Amino acid sequence: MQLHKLSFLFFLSLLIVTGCKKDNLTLPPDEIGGKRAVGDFVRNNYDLSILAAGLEKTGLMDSLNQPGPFTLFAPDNNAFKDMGVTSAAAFNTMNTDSLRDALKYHVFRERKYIGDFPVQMSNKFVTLSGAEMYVSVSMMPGSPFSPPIHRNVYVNGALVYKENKRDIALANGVVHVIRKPLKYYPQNIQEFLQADTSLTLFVAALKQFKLWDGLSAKGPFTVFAPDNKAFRNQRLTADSISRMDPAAFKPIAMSIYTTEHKIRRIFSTDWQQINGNFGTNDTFIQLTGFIMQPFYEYNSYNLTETAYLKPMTPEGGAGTNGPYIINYKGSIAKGTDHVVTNGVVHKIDDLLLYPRTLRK
Amino acid sequence: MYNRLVLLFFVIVTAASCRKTEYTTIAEPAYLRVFNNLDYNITVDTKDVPQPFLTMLIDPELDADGVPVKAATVGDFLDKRAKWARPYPDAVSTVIYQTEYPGSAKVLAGPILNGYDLSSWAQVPSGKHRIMFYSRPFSTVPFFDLPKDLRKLVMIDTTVNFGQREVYTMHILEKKFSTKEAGIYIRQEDFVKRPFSDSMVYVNFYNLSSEGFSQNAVFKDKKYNQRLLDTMNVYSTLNYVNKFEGFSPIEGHKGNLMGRVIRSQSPEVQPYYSFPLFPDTIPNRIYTGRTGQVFTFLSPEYTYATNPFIQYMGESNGRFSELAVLPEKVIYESAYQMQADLLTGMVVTVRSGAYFNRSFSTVNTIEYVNGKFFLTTIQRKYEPPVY
Repeated sequence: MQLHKLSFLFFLSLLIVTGCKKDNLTLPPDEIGGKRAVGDFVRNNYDLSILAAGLEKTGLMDSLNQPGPFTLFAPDNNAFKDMGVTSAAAFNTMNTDSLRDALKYHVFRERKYIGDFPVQMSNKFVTLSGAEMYVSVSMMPGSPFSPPIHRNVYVNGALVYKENKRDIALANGVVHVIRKPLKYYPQNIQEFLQADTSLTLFVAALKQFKLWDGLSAKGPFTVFAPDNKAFRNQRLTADSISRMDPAAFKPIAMSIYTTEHKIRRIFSTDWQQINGNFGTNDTFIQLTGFIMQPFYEYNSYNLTETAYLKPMTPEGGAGTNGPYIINYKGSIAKGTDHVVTNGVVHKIDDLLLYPRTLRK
Repeated sequence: MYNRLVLLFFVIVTAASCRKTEYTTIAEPAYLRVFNNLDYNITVDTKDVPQPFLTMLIDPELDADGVPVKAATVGDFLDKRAKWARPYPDAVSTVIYQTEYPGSAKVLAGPILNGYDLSSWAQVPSGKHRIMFYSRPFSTVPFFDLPKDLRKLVMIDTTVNFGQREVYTMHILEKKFSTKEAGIYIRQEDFVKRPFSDSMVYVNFYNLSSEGFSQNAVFKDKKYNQRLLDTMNVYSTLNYVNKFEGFSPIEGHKGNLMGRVIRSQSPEVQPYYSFPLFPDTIPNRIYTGRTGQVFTFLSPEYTYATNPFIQYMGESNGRFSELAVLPEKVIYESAYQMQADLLTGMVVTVRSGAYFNRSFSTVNTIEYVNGKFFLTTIQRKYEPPVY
């Protein structure tokens, strides 16, 4: 009997001693991801085969198998197809150096799961290309808390897929799959607009209305750039633009395209991310005499995106000064969210407001 | 023999006991409570502006680049304040985002001073101190674990002097409506020094709105009478809950003039007004009924008797507004409503001693800040419940 009591006491004291030990139950991050590296994961994934080809061609595949840690925002094959890159062969016609820079812009050197991002707009991260990317995170609209797999996440206006296509933990980092490739140009807005031959009339109009010079400033600015066809549809040619008198028009007729030079970097998905699909008039882009809704919606059932711009009167009416809605040029992937050093440029296929209706 | 072994085990256990608790004490404390009154409303136009989600640092140590690396007192995750600041702290809660400091932070709380429970106040060292407020990202990462570039957004940098064993309420306020500039407001509370009666409920009023708010503000939801002019008179009405789950005024306690509320951000304690804890003579002192308080704000040209405004009839452009402190489930038509105690509004009704419910008088502060009403309720010490 006495012996039993003793062994009982012995085990009890053992328990007490070990009870003081507190184990840290969180695994160090590099032990969560298993054995596979980011590069190997991309190479072995059918959905990411175009990205893999690009990484292979530019020699980045090996970099992504190095210790890291990396966070890769990986555009899937659908994303590249929307951009017109339908197969790996399309990379052969591209400049390898600029392709490398473009792909480097999708990676930064930290391991960030979705739950690690602050729940706010435009978290900045310096990518391998040296430029910053903007990761915006929000809870599901109207909900005070949503788990990371359901949060709304956009990087430079590109949707980060939900559930099992995000937070893919790997040995040297983490992969999030995105809906469209990120577009970064190491130029300022002026250089970007001038480099595009389909925007010559827009550049001419900006110069004619004395809005051009401000676009080399630090910014960031948001610019909506209509292509030449949009101007020609309104019978505006290089010749007629040069004869326009800025004083005869309300300033908003042209300054709407630079959102009145206000400091703002608005991606195509921002409004939707902040407000869900519904918002009152004060949630739209506020301009003199107008408001503008940058609408975006992702249909997770059909896997389709809808995005357009809708200029309205301050009361929310359709107005008579321009088209009802304006689409992005080419496709959503091609037209939206061209990030440049001092802002973001969206290419659009129609004028936001018809200048002839805005004479003083 | 066995006894000796047992003794040996106990010696081992004692020797191996690994926890040594060092209790922190603050020698000559002041008592501080902090509210963040700044509001954020993220739109496409303001999404990149630093949001007023704050970290408070008292006596911070800055490194060579001016980035804080350490502070004597840290109040992290300071979010928008809640409508009702409850008379007891959230100490058992594990929420991270705070509606006030100390909130649920594990800090030395204030004692019971002159019968007032100051457990919602934190002890801070008295004397002259530098206080800084930083804007921080919306995440659960503690401030000093954030990357360096996210610890640079200073919103307020100031020096304050705390008196020994004095009670302070600090507010972060918008100073001017046009510039949105943020500033600090520190009020040295005097309720602990006043001879307040146990059978009366006390309340004082502040309008801490920014300069130019009442003239220029645009109210987002289309409710009438949300605007308050800079000078208003306030009238109180005490109500009981009638059988239609609405309010009926208690005889003799309808529209009593309390005093004047003037918009001001100078930190003086406003006079306290009172109403009886048990205005209704029908229930006995072991109270199980439901009551609520309505405060009517009228511009000085009107009195309660000549008040021409009715809430649902239309907009008074700041000349009339009403705040109702409602018990649960009661419907009352007014511009502003809030819920405090589930049964009795500003009166605290809880289990105490052997009684199921007992009502206790409180000392309250009602603050109107930029189109929002906030109520702070301070409770006196009461007998804890016996189960």
